Amino acid sequence: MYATFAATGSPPSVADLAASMGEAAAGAGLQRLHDAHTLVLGGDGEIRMALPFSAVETGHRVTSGAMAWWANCAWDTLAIPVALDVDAEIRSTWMDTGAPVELAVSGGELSSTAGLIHFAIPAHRWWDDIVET
Amino acid sequence: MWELSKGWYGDRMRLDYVPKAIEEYQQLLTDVGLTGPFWSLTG
Repeated sequence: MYATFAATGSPPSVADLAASMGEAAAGAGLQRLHDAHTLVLGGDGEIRMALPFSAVETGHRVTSGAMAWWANCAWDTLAIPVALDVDAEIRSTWMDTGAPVELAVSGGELSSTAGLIHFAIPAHRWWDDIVET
Repeated sequence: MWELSKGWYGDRMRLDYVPKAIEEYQQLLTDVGLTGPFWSLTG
């Protein structure tokens, strides 16, 4: 599942997973990862998030060469280059000014650590509604 | 957050990836100075 996200920018469909590993194993595996707060299934039963990747378009984009991924949030824009161990460019928007975020990761280093990421929700409530978080 | 990301997500793509225990995630937050009730994962 993560390999598909990394290679294509999108998750596999549940049908694709079922075809490759069996319907029961796919269902159980997805539920286990969902319970472990690793992925989020959408209302349609498909993968909505596999942290730090987003299956849907967001305001947070990470690119590396010809590849690109949507991140769920500002934190995840940093997490994607870490998870993939790639050089990357991060594009987002600073909430306070509306100015574009232009950060880069090269050789495992972030181009700038200036700026703040705002967490509005206490950590123990992140998973009450992880999409909102 | 950059340093936290390394600990939190650095192993995510490994084939043998297993989610950490909540105590381990809490320690990662502590290690980067995110402490106190707001950063408690268990409330």
